[in-house]
Amino acid sequence: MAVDMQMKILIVDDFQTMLKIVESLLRQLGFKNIDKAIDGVSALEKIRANKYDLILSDWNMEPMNGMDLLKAIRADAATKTLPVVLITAESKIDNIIAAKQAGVNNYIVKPFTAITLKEKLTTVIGSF
Amino acid sequence: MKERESYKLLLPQELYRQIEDIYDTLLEMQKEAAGIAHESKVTDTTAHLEDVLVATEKATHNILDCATSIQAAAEKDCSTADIRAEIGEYVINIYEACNFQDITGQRIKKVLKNLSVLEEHIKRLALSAQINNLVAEAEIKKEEPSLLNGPQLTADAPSQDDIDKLFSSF
Repeated sequence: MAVDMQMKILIVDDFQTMLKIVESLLRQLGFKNIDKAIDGVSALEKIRANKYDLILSDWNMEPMNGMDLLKAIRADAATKTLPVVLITAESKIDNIIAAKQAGVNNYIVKPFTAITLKEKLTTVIGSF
Repeated sequence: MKERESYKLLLPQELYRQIEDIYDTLLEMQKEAAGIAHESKVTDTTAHLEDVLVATEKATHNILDCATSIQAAAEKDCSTADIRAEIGEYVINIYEACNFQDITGQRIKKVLKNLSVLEEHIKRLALSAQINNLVAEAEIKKEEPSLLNGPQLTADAPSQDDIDKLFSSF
């Protein structure tokens, strides 16, 4: 099934620059409908208020980090199957294990390339 | 017997001397901080680092805005598809290169946090009046290992391929 390029994507990161980079790259890849949040708390509010098709989140944020956001998403029956990809500088084995156990769909380590972003998104949402 | 003298009996001489040096430095720093802002060593260091964060974020935003404008201009005015595609590739390279600001920002935040913790430890060491408190604060607190470590040093950091192999092994 072809990927709907109008799918609604939420990017979550406490660094404005990273939000801008990910948004720009997603637009380059052809996605049109992109929303942003600067931390896990505001992201969760948006997720509960809107229907998103994909979440791309940083991990290291305050007051709610990406792992806690992921767990909150998975704990809610309405959002438990929502695809979540972590884009983070956290790269230790314990991080990967914890993220996988929490139900992350894929894991991108910073710094990353546009090709990596596309590859990882493809494994989650299909080819585009 | 005064508490400071009682410490001398219980702590090795050299260790006691170093704690006194730290305490005297802290007193000096506090005097400086009470006087003119940003002249104490720790607050001066954190102020400079915060300036670096702000400056690099601003510069990176400018670079990204320019890249977006270049792409928009190429899409609008450039009739040759090959050249448009080439410009598009360069613009993507710029976006990728700007990842640096996120990583350096996280490293600087980590340094700022460590400085703040260090300052807190020194203050507690210096202001503690009881030998029991002093020993307790000199102990290394055993906390649960945190998953929030920030970026690893470049030489130690795994590649995306390494991450992918580990991720798919579960």
